[in-house]
Amino acid sequence: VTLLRVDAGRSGDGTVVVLAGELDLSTVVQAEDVLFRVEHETEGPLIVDLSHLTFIDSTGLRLILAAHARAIKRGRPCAIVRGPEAVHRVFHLTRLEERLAFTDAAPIRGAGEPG
Amino acid sequence: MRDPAVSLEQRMLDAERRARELAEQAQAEAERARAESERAREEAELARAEAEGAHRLEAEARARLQVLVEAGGAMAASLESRSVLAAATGAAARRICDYSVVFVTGREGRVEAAVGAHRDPARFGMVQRMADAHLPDPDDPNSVPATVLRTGEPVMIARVPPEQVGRIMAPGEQLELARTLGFASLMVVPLKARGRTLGAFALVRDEGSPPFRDEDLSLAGILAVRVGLAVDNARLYEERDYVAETLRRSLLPPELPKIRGFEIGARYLPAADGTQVGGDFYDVFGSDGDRWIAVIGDVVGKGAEAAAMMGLARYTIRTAAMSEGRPSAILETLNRAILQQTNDHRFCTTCCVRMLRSGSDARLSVACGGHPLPLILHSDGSTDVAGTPGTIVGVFEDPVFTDRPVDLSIGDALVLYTDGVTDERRGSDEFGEARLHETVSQLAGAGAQGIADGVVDAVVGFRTGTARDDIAIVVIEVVR
Repeated sequence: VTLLRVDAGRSGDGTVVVLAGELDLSTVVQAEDVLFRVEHETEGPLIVDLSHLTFIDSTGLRLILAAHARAIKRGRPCAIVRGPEAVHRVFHLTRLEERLAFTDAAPIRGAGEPG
Repeated sequence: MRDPAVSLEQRMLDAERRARELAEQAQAEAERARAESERAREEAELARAEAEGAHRLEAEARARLQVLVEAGGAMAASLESRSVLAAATGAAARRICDYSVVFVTGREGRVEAAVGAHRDPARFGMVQRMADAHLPDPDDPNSVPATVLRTGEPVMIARVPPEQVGRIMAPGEQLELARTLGFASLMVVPLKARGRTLGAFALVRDEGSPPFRDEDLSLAGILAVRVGLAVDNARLYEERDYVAETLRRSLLPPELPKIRGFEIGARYLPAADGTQVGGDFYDVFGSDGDRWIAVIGDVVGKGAEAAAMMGLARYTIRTAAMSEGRPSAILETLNRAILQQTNDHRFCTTCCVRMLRSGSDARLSVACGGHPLPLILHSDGSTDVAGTPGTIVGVFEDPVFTDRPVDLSIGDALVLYTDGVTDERRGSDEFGEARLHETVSQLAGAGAQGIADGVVDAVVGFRTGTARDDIAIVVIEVVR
């Protein structure tokens, strides 16, 4: 049983990483591996899609936070596609809502800048 | 001219001689052929015998090595040293000897325990009783295991003279049991790992079995190496459990303080895997005069790094509380401390509460840093949420922490908890905040500890499978 599915694909001139399922201590390594590869092998905007996530814990938050910070540091636009209520509540509670560039939209096509 | 008479006689003699020669030649050849075929037959026989022998030897070697396979599999599956020893003695008794006993030493080199096994399961108990009757004294010159423990060298007594059994075994029950079981041939090999002798492995054959040979000793030696490593591994694992537990206890207050006008209850339930130090912590302490601080938090991740941050968080909060009155200021100090010491987005979530009693009411001040907001339980069973969300602690230079006043009356309580409570699940259904409010509402009047226990019981009763995360709860109840 895989609790987390991680998919990466092109979207316009950017790259989307879709996290589906549960992002927690036991699955965070999977997502880390894919994000690491995407960050090093692609250029342009990075979009992390949480809309198919059902659960996130603090290790998951840390992963998103770190990926976002690394992208910004390299001058790479980064956007997070908002997760369902149960997931987004955690970003609200931790006030990360204000610190990350959230978008409601599904991954943009062909646009240089997300969101 | 030839003499015809002589010549005839001569010719007859010649013919006769040649006939004899021919006959002899033929016989010699026949003999040679027979000899050759005989040799060929012998050679074929020898070859067959050799092939058979080789096959038998190979089968024997395979059977002998089977002990390593059997013991190895069982030992690898076990992280508890006693199970490792049971697997090793069991395999040895089935494959090398009639019965075997492992003696294990503790830190000071004394034999602490013995685990025995017999080829015949019905005699297991006898072997164990014999071993337990008298554990080898390291200084006893007559004890073979003690000698092996001292020298670290294997010992084999292929034929144990009957009179020597009486010297090797302790008089009384041990000697009697040894005589009942039979004690004809003995090997004792050391168990070693990382340069230390961890124990001695004794293998015994009774009078019904052939004496041990050198190849039995080398096989026992190979087995002992594997057992030594497995025991060492299991001990490390057990030690890690112990360290984790000690560390965890050192990071939670040993005992909750008695505070006039408040009653404090708390519960902590570690996640299923006890070897990992979880990330939840709490503390309740007096800071200045009649001002008290209660704090609950959750550090990202598990293990040693999480424990280190828990320690940092707990002591920074205690120190900050000496000079800072406002919970938000305490969180700001903690935020700076973590930022200074880490740069890998490691953070914690914390809820900090200051408690002050005035007359029959209590004024609490609540600040949260990325932490679930505490619940208010009124004496009538109604519930509320206290505080406002604040930034996670330890990542940003400019966090937002807000102090929110909470006024409580006698019988009211504030319930602080970690997300392990709400994240716990039954299938895909989360325990969640709504269920927590419901649960807490029904616990009105149960007292601070009763509320903490009631919530934990509800969560444990709700979930299926093992605990997903740590659970921590601190309840502050206003009392007379």
